[in-house]
Amino acid sequence: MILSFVFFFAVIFVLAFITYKGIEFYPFSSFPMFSNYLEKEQIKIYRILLKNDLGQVEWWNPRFDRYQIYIGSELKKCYSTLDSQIVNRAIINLNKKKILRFVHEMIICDNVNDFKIDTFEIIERKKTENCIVEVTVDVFRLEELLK
Amino acid sequence: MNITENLQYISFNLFVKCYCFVLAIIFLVNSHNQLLYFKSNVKRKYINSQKIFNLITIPLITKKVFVFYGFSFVISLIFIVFDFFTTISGLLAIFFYFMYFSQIQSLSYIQRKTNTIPIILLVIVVSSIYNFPTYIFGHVWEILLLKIVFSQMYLSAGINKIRLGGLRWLNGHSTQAYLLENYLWNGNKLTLLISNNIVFCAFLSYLIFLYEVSFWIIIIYPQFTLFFVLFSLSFHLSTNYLMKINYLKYLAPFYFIFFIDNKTFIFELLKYYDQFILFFKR
Repeated sequence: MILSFVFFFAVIFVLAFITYKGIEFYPFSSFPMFSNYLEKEQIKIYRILLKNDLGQVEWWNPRFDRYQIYIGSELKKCYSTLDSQIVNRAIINLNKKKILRFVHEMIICDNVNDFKIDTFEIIERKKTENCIVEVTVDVFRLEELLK
Repeated sequence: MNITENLQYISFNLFVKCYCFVLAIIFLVNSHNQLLYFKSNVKRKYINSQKIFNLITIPLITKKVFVFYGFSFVISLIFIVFDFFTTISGLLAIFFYFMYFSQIQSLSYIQRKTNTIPIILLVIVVSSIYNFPTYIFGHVWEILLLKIVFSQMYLSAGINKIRLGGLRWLNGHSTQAYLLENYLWNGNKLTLLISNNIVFCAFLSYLIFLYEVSFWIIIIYPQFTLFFVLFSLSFHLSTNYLMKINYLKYLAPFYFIFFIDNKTFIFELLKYYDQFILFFKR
């Protein structure tokens, strides 16, 4: 009976502490998702468009859609580093190729359809006042990546 | 002990069986998908090593061990359903949970959405040590604690919005931005349509915030249970449709805790449980 009381109040204490401090204490969590203040002008994502040798295109849609968000945030880092002009462009370019090689590995792993990839295009997507803007920021041929 | 208190204790035991049974089914249905995710995580690039209580690091495992832990997790849950060494089975289920789920934490429907599972299992373990009910504030402590655990998810999420975003989080711009970001990833036209309307986004922001910070009310006033639970379900179904965030997959069986106090509901469940046991005894 004492154990039940101690356990009850111990769990309540941890929950209250986590909530008050807003920290992660796995498996306890303060659930901070979607809590940051954002404005639509800050939203800019990087998606990958696949193109075959006939010129047909399709978005890279992995079986587990979180992957495109992870890859997109890595690409975003590459382009924001480029903006600040601190690091050598060649290193950033190598990093982009490394990311795309990883994407290629995942496409093979997913094996969803027989779309023969010829080119990877990195597309920047954002919204302006009236419409969605899509800009191709980089193009990499598959053979160039696999070299 | 009066009949109502006795009934509360029976209801908790019934919750344990329903929860573990449904959890085992959900796990089995999704196990193939989880295995594919485990395998697809090439070179473990997106697996972060989880630390329990920020202290204990969980090691990365091989595919065979992953499958073994998953299978053992289900067996432990089934043992709990049949009252078979509940304490030990519960402890083993907690162990297998951490070993298995920590490997696929980055999977969208796992991340933070299964965090309540080991807490519920621990409540089951502690409860099984004694075979009689203990009451705190006139409630069986297990039911009260689990309702608090559930409510904390929303309360904490609500508080975080003000802590991290400030009161301006409520002006609708954040909701608009998050919806827009999801549209850019997933291309759901309805998400864009809502995101274009800042007044509606502000309305949604207030609604979500008020719902999150007031969810705990149902612990004190259970008459609001149906309202909050229905709101909660529609909220999660909407986020699943608009933003591809499936909160309900592993959280759904936890909702039983809010209906287990209802006497008619309990008698119906008891009836089904008896039939279920009879079926296996035949």
